[in-house]
Formats: sequence, structure tokens, C-alpha cells
Amino acid sequence: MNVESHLSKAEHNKRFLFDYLMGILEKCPDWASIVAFYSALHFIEAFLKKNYGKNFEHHEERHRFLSQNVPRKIFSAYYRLYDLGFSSRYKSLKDAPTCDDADSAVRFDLADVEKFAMSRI
Amino acid sequence: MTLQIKEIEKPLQIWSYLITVYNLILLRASLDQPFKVLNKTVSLWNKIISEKLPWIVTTENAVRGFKERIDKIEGVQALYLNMRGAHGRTRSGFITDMRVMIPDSNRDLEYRIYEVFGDLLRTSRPLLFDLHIIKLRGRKIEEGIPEGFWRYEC
Repeated sequence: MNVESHLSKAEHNKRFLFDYLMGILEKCPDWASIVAFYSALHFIEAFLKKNYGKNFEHHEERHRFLSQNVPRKIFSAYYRLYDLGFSSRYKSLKDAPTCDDADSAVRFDLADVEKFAMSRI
Repeated sequence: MTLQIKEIEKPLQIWSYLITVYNLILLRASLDQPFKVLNKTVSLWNKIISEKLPWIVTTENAVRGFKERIDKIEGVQALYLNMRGAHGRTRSGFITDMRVMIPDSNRDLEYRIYEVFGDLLRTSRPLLFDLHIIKLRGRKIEEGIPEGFWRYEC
């Protein structure tokens, strides 16, 4: 995917998140976390494509590259979204993000990742 | 080798034991039948071990450094490890899966752990790691850890 395609996908996911999921956050903090992560993923992919010409197939390789090429705060924000998304998708409800987790992930982590990526595209 | 084994926790410990046992078998075989040891099987195992051992040692050093740093963070309760194959993705041929246990959600604490993890990734190329934080939320550690993971202590 090219930069524009990644940005379209990031915005599409973010719109769904804010238009629907954030309004029913108490019912689905897990799904809000997942969509927040996939919005962040495409913002980051757009940043990587634009600045380094890179597409990553696997999370682990992307994380290793990010650890060397983004500020620590952005790495942590992105990784928290990844981790919350993982817990939502693969773990028990006991492990799922709480409403507070999802809310802070959207309002702070996703916002920081988006701001960082857009400032470099 | 013996001293090193005492300090290494599973699953790295298993590798160390296997390598030691293998070396002893090889030594005994070479004493009993000096001209029959270098058959194809031995060559294969020699190749595997000589390729993997340096990566195991490098991984152990990286994980030890990570553990020492997260132990200083208040709220971190344990580190668990597993390894999975990643043929063709990294020269080591494996990814180290890490699980850090904390009592409950805490964004500041999670950020501190992710920062240390970022440092681990930055300084341990070409190794690959994957980290997830497990929030115990009243569960015992054993109840929160997935099957196949081993507690790491150093």
C-alpha cells in the first residue's frame, strides 16, 4: 500500500472509532482498543513508507525498526495500542482492556501517534 | 558450562542442558569409537548447535539486561519467556516471547516497561522479541500466564 492508502485506512478506522465505538465504550472497550490500534498501525505505516520506503509484514520487525526511528514516547504509545489490541483479540475477558484503558488509548496514545506521523508526512 | 547453567532459567536452561548432554555423548563416543563419530548425524547436530548457540547466548544476555532493568520498576511482579520459530525472519531463527506481569492497568507503569523494551529492541539487533503485559487483576501469577511460558530469574 502507498502512503495515501495507509492514511485513508487510518482515517476510516478512526472515523468508525469516534462515530460509533466511543459512544458505547462501556460495552466494548476491547473493540475500541482494536480499532484504535489498527488506526495507529496505518498512521505508522504511512510514516514508514513516506520516510523510509518500508512496508512491514510482521509486527516484531516493525517494532524493532520503530525502536530505532521514533522517539521513546511514541514507541511506548504505539506499543501500548498494539498490546491492548492483542489482549482484546486473543486473551480472556479478564485480560481485556477496561473502559479507562481504551479511553486513554484513544485520547492519548492514538492521538500522539497520529500527531507524530502526520507531522512527518 | 555448569556454573552458567545454574544462572540460566528455562527455556534457555533447556538448551544449555541439551548442549551439555550432547557434548558429553560426543566425547564418550569419540573415546569409544574415534573414527565413527564424524558421521552425517553428528555433522548435522554440530551444524545446528554451532549456528544456534551464539544466538542463545546473545539472547540470554539481552533478556538478563531487560530483567535487571524492569526489576527496578515498582509494580513489576515477574517475567516469563517462551521461544517460537521464525525461520527466515531473523538470523537466530527464533523469536523470544516475553510476558511481564503487573497487578493491574497503570498507563505510567506500562509506558516505563515499553520504554525498557524499546531499548532492548534497539540494542539487540538482529534478534526479535515480542512483549505483552499481563494484568493480574487479583489472579495468581500462575493463573495469568499462558501455557508453555517459563519464569525467568537472574
